[in-house]
Amino acid sequence: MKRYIYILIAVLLVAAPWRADAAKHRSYVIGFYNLENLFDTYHDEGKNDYQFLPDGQNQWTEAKYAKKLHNMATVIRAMKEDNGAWHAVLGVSEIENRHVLEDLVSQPEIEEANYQIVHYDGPDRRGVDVALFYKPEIFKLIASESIPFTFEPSRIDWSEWTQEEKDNFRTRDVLMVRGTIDGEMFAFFVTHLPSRLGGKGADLRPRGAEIIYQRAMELQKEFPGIKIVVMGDMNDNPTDISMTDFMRGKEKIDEVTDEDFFSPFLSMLKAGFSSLYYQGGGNIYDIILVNNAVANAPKGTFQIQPIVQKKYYGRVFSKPFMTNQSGQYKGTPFRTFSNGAFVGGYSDHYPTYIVIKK
Amino acid sequence: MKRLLLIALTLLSGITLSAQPTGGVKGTVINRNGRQPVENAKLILMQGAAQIATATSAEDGTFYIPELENGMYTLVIEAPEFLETQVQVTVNDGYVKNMFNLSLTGIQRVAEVDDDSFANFDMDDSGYNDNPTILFGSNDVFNNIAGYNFSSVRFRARGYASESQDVYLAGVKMNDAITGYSPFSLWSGLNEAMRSKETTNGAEVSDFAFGGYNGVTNIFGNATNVRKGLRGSILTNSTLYRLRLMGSYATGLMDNGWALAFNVSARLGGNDWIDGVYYRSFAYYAAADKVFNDTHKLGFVFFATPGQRGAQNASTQEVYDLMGDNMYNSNWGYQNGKVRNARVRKTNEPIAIVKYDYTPSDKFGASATALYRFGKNGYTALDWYDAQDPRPDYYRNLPSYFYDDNPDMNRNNGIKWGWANEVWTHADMYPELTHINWDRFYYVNRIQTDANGKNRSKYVQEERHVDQQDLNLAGTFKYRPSGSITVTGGVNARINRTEYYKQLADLLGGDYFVNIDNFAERDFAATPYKLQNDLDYYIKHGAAQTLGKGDKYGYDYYAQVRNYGGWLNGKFTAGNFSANIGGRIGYESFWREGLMRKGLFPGLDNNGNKLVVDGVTVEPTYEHDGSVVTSLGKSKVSSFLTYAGKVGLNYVIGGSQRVYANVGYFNDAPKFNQAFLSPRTRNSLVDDLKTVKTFSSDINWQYSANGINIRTTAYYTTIKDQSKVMSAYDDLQNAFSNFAINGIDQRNVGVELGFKVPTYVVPNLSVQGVVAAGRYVYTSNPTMTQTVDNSAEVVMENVDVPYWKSTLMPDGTVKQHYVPSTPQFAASLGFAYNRNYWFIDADVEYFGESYLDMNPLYRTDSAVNGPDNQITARELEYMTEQERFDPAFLVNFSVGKSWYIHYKYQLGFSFNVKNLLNNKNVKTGGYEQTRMVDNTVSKSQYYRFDPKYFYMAGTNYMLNVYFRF
Amino acid sequence: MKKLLFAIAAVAALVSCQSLKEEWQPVFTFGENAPSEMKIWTEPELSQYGYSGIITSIKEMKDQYNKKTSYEKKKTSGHTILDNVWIKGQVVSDDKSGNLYREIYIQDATGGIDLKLGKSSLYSDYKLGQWIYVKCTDLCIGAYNGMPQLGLEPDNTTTNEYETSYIDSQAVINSHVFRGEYGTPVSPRVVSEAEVQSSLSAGFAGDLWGVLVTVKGLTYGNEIFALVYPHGILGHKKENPYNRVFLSDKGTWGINTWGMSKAKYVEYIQSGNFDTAEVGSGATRYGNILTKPIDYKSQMGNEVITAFGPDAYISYKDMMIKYATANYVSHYFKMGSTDIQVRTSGYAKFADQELDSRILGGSAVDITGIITIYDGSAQMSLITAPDNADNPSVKIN
Repeated sequence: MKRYIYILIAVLLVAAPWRADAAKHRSYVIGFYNLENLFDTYHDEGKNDYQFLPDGQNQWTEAKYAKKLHNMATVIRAMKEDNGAWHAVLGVSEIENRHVLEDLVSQPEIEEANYQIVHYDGPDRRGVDVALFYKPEIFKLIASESIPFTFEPSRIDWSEWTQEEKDNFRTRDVLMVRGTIDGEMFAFFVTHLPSRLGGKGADLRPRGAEIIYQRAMELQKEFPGIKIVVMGDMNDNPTDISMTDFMRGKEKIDEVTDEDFFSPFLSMLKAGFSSLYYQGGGNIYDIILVNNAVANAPKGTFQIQPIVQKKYYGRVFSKPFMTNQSGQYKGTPFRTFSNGAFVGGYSDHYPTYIVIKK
Repeated sequence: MKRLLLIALTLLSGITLSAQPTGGVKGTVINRNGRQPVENAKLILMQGAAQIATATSAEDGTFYIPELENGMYTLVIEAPEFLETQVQVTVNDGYVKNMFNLSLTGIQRVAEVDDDSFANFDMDDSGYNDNPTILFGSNDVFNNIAGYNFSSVRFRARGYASESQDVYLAGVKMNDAITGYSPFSLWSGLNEAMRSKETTNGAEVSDFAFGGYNGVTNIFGNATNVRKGLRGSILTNSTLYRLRLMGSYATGLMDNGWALAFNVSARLGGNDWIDGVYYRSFAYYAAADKVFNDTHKLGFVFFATPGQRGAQNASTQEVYDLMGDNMYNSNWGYQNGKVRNARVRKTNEPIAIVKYDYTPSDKFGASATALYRFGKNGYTALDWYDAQDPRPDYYRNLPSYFYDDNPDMNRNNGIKWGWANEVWTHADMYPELTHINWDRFYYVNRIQTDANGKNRSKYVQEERHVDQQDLNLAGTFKYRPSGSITVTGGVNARINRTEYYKQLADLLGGDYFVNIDNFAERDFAATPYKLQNDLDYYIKHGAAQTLGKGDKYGYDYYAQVRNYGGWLNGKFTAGNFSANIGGRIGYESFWREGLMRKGLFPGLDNNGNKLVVDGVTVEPTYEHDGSVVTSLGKSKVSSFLTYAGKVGLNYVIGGSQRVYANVGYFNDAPKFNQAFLSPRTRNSLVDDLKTVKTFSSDINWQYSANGINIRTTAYYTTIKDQSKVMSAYDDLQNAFSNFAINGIDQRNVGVELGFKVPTYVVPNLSVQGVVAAGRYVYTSNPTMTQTVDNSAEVVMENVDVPYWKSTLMPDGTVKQHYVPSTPQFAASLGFAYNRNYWFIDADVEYFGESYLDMNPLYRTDSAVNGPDNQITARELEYMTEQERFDPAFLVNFSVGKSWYIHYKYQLGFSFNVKNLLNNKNVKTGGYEQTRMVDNTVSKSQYYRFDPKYFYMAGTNYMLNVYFRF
Repeated sequence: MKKLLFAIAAVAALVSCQSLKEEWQPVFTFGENAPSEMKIWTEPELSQYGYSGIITSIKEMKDQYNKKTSYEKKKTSGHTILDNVWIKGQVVSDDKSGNLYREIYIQDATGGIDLKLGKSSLYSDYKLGQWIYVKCTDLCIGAYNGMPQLGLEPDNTTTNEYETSYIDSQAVINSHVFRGEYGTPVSPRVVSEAEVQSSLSAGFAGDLWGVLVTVKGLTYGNEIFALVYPHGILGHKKENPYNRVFLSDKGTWGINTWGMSKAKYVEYIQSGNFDTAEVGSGATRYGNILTKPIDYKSQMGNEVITAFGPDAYISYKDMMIKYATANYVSHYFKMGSTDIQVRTSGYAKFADQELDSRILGGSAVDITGIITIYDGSAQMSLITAPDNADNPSVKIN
């Protein structure tokens, strides 16, 4: 029996330096997750959240709300189990208010991560907003802002829209949070661009991207070398013009200049990865882009890592428990509601994330 | 002191002046860890740089800041030992914003950067090797279009028999144990309950079943899969039934873990095209699922579709032409002015299912199902004793029986031809001659008074019963040790006892009927015991049983079928490449168990010696192998070891296309109804029954991305050693005979293409089309054994059927014979438009290369050579020719729209019209009769009876209005 | 929500109310006992078919035979009646026993007629003693070996074996043969040898033919007549004698049953009773049945041999067994000096009943049946079995 103990100590000694060396290299996970209608069971004044009330169409009872919170927390923890670390920064969308975020971060599965919340009540008619969780010991918050959706200044021609239509248009704000990780200045944009349903929406998403791009360029001027990560449910594929033309999302790292963004999920869509299925086809709407400072980071600073098959810089996270195993929707995300019935699933989107390493 | 201040504040806010701003913020400050309230936390409400108000949290952590203008604020919460937390608050429309709980994180809990907070990636171990899970949708573009557009022409995918398609319900194979036919009629009318299903194509393996070579369909059927809400629909269909009312209600998964679902429907009335065909069917379905937790789930289902359905009969082209109506149906007639159908299916076959699902983890899932099917299945028909044949289109009533241009037919009576032609071309003036004459049955039956004043019916209506008791136990499992390996498998056991018997449904005005065999009476009038359908009754009572309404008669036997089996399939994925390999083994056995001792085949008595009837010892008849031919008791048990193997390869290219191929070999047991020479009279089995050996292979390419869906397939399948049993009156032997045909081989080769491509020119409009081109030919000449039905005497033993596969014409050309009853070339092209819940489809179809089902008797030497046994080129071509149907050209159109009424109600309609060009001479199938004309003038050739055909209806529509609450 | 539920209930009620029931129940199949009774025609009703109120006697109707046209003679056909002739007679025959097939005999005071309806199991529709009206216009009166028959004209060929054909067409039967009221079954007319002799001499016009009679005091003539056809397919016409075997002129050939069912016929052949029978008819004879057609190559000529095909190489005896069917037998009885043949079909239920030993022993019998003429001699067809419990057709005294 003793012999084993000796061997064990020897291994530890040998491994120790290796571990020390690891301390020098640090990598953090930055990701995004569309939580598919995380509503509480109370009516928010002035918001059309009637579907999600106990006597509403979805009969959104405390029991269903509790099951939804538990499921969302389970996915976040499953990602931690896979990666060996909590997400340093996690953007979320389709959440109703601060209350659901407080309830989510207090779930037993993820309470230990001590996620801090950045959230603004947005003007969206349905009352859904975006928000950001961050681990306080890693990301030091400096400032945050809620950028409203505006039509000007823009290179898009809005002649089809009347002024009244522009005034009546409501959608989610873009959340921008700035702070530092290990001393390096970071800015995180979290967005949920207008959906594809409804006629003239084709220009709204490019406009959303343009707003983010303009603000990002301002930040690059104001804080030279700032590392910017843009994430969100774009309601567009990385191949659509909102991403390629307005966000200037490039497929290959070496193509990226200071005026561009690197779009890791572009080549992943072509390879067949999908974060959601719409009318039978695979898409990636949950897109993350990084600016040149992250793509081609100066020596010794945080740089984005290839984390799938040694060549893809992003990952779409899915496990069997969050995927439909049978029936006509086999292979698609196991969602909370299907054909109007509560089926106790997770979300109709899979979470996506990247890893930065120093 | 603090408490006082607080009370003052709350009081103050109570009496706000109208001018004062009414907004405010309230909530509770708690400790994130343990959720205890945090007392005396300092709350500073900021707007930009300006400080608007401050407050402190009370003992229970609550706080309230009144009198706030609308706008966006930042609430900073500070408390000792806790991280400072900023909360953005928006006060809108003068409401008090309730922030519920605001949690603070303890400082000591936030350690410096510890191991737990950064990922262990380093340069070499570059993370994961996830594979793209490309979804190719279980609804296949080819099946979608072909399924709908080709249904009116009885199109069979790849020319395979319909029995080869495996249909499962809740994991249990439902194909009929006796015939193998697909079981959809068991739940017709329960569309809503049986809507969610999973299908695979060709030889692909699915998760819940090994399947055959013609696709597998598993219908879930449990409560959770029924769409939630109260739904209803009203439908009318001009070729099936006038009205269908359907309603369904499902709760969806409720908080207490239960899910309930109900579905009822009624299908009533006739149609515009075929008289006498009508529906009076009802259907009810009730199911409950109990989800205990993520691991255990139990489901109960009970449904049945009791009802009646008037059947259609095929007739000859002569009759259709005389009547001027290809839809003539000879099954009905008038009874004091009202239409009455003689052939009606009357079924009530309920099914009960208990299913248990066990999914302990996402690596392993299993389910076990017990399914019990029982009930009654009857099919009425006319039966007559020593009386004229009541069928209106009996060949002796037709003009062609009296006169024929061909002098050799020896039919030259112009007068009788004239009268018959007059009747059939003025059918409405002679309804009693061109349809069943019910009134005549009643008055004939009422004048057959016997010695003791009772009327013995000449004509009766019988009901032929096939009542199944079918118990199925099936289990499947799915084990996924890693992302790249999935093992699925299952076991099943089936115990089926089906009782075949005839029941007297209606005495048609008479008082009784006698339980004797009409045909036997003609040949064995002198030996009464031979006429008995139930010899034991005759021996006990000295006379045949006189039957009243509802009594069993004619025949009564059990078909006993047992099959047990197991299957296993492994699926391995590596990158874009995946393969599966699987096998199935099984043991099938069946035997007949006679419940009545037939006079013709009495066999021996219980202790094995000869019977004595009316003082005469009865010599039994003997089979080949010397064993006694019996009708009562158990027959020999035939048992078969069945096995099958499948290999599938699948390669995904890029995000949207895949190439996949399957190869399978199947060794299946023959079915009960192909194994007994004459199950209605005796236990005799077809000798040396063989298993059916099928080799099937297919290679496919599929593309599916942003609206474009294309699938193309090439397949090659050979099926060997099929057998067929048929009974018919043989004119050469002048006896009703049984024919066992063995060794039928066929080869099905072909290509399939299905596509749906957006037109890009017009938004929301896509072009869709399908092409199915195949060549399904017979590749062997079977052998035939003929026995006389009422004596079991062997007339022909393994005689070759030389002209089955093809006919070698004298001039050296070979006329190939084809697998019948499905178009070997079918194509459809059309447009599909759908945009905000409108859908419009218009398709054009073309069908060609359909062949008529062949009768083996016409392809034997004795039939071809004719009475003089001399073969001539004319005889060879005439007798062995297989008819090819003319190609058909059809246009279908359908339109539908659904509306959402303020997010709660849904109302919609769908209207489809088939065969817009009203093309009324499209043959959809038919069969060659077995009779032959033999008393010719030249005595050198036989002539065939005309074949019987089924035709497709002309322009027909279906309108469905549905609504959902 | 309530409004919609109410609407559905209304539709369901609509569905069940009677007037719409017909639409949802256009067809039925069970029950609904029909009140229909057999249509019994009365004379006034027959006017719609051209009945002018005059009933012609059966005897007078038979005279129409003499109006045969030259065309009909050439076509070997009977005479298709053109005048408005209606006859009325009672049903005296019954095909229940199977001895008669596809024909009924009706009789009035002046005589009887063989009505060739062509349908089987006629006893289901026409009861003994029932009055039947027959519109003879369009029908054809013809002679078969001297026996008057009423049917339709035969095929338009010149080699007809029968001058009339079975009516067969139900449309013709429905418009020419009308069931009248049920009368008491006719009792057989007792006839003397002299009456038989006078009808024989009158030939076609004999008034006894087709009448239900009883002849008394007959003794068995110990002789039978039967004509069988060895090859079942090669056709039965006089023109091909190579397929006919006569069992006649030599006593009873061992046949002691009234007729020969298929099984009994095979039994007789196998017992060798017919070994001495000759193949052929009239002048042409080919020797006894043990020979093979190939043996008579010189006499039969090649095309006949080819007609037999493979059967040319088996003996007639084997051919008779291979193609065995039920066959008629005529037993000769003596009524004084007149021969009376009792002819019984092999399909009759009593075909295989043996003649009572007393008959063979020569004791006198009374025979009841339908009397007909065949080639100048009198024949009797038994309607009931010789030993039938209710009314036996052969009484041994």
